Amino acid sequence: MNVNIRFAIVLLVGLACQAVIVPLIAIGPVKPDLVLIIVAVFGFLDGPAQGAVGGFLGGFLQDLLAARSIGLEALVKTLIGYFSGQVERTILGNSALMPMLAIGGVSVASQTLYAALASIVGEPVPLIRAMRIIILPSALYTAVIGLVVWTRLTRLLSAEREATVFK
Amino acid sequence: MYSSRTNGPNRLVVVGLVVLALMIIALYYRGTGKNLIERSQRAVLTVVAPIQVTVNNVVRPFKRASQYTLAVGSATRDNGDLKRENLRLREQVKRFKRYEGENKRLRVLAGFRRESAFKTVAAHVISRSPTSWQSLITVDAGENQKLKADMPVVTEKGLVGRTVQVSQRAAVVQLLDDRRSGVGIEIVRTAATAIAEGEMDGSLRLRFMADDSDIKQGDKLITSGVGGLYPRGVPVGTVGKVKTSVYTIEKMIDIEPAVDFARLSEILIIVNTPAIGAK
Repeated sequence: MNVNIRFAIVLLVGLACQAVIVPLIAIGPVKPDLVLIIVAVFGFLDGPAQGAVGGFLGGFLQDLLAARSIGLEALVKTLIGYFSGQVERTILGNSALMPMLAIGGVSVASQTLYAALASIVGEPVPLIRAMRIIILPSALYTAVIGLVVWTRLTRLLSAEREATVFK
Repeated sequence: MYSSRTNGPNRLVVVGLVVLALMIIALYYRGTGKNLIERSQRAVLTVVAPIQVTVNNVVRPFKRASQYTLAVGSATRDNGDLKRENLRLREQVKRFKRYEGENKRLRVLAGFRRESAFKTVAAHVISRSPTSWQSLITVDAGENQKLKADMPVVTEKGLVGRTVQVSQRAAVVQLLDDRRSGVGIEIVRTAATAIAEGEMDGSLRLRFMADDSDIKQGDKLITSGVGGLYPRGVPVGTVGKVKTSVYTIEKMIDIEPAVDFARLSEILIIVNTPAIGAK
């Protein structure tokens, strides 16, 4: 199966899980961002352009599902997908810790950017308080979930590339 | 390898997408492209709602099982309290029966409409907000049940929020604890009015109560009906901690909501409030 179709399926399943499963494991307002993990992994594996496209699609669908503040997630996740694509795969290596740190860092960047954009468009977010209540706890939670799904997700999204290499 | 990741076409793609995202934001916040965006939202909701219903049907038994396990633990503790409460309530029922008869006679005399005149549509919660920044739920009722945007949503315990987006078979409800939610309330004891607003951490605060206003912990809060969106008299919660600050002339007042927003599973949407009829 084409890697882009595979990504689309993974993204849709991720969105459904984000809306139905994640609220069950949420700790107050703190929720892991599965779509962010998928976009970041796609960016890490396929580079900035694909990461940006994947980020835009994931973010925009998340916006449409949320029904409020349309466009903010699309913009944030486009940039996150792009910058994840700039990270060399070799930097992530085979250790479990590096991907976890990378996803945690990407999550902090994503949520901070979202808060800043929301403030610009007239939905003010007190950044210091948001950092304490939402941004840092969510990043930690997302990083832990990222650690759990990293191996499976990278295998799923890179299977075709490896098969092509071995042909 | 590095150069392939940072070349010109890559930058062009990201710049194009960023511009597109900025255009969507501009269209949404200026309101000029609302029809197009609303149509896209409804299309996504129409496609995703059946998936959410299916996933929710699979998850619901597990959710109920975990809630049941938690409930058993607290049930023993509650039992003693309930017995004492029962005795007290029996006395109250006797007193209220007397009032009920009197109330009926007065209502007939005054020609008041019965409060139960609200027409409601029942729905199940099929999903929740996908991000930490919003407090929204999606329910399995939509235009097919004559729902529209800006309809009040309640449970038997009190106010939940309002509908913000409606597709054919699903609707998105903005909960009262969303940081962009606000509702005019009345303090039952004093009839003073104020505004209850959602906070970022999912709590509710009472705003615009002067430092010298008469309010205390445990005061009951109901909707004031001001603004026309929510009907008057729906329970919102009770006053929690009341704090004063030297930095502001307002009191800082927490609200303990009448409804547990984290455990909503069934809700009612009021479809015939005066505000809706007027639209």
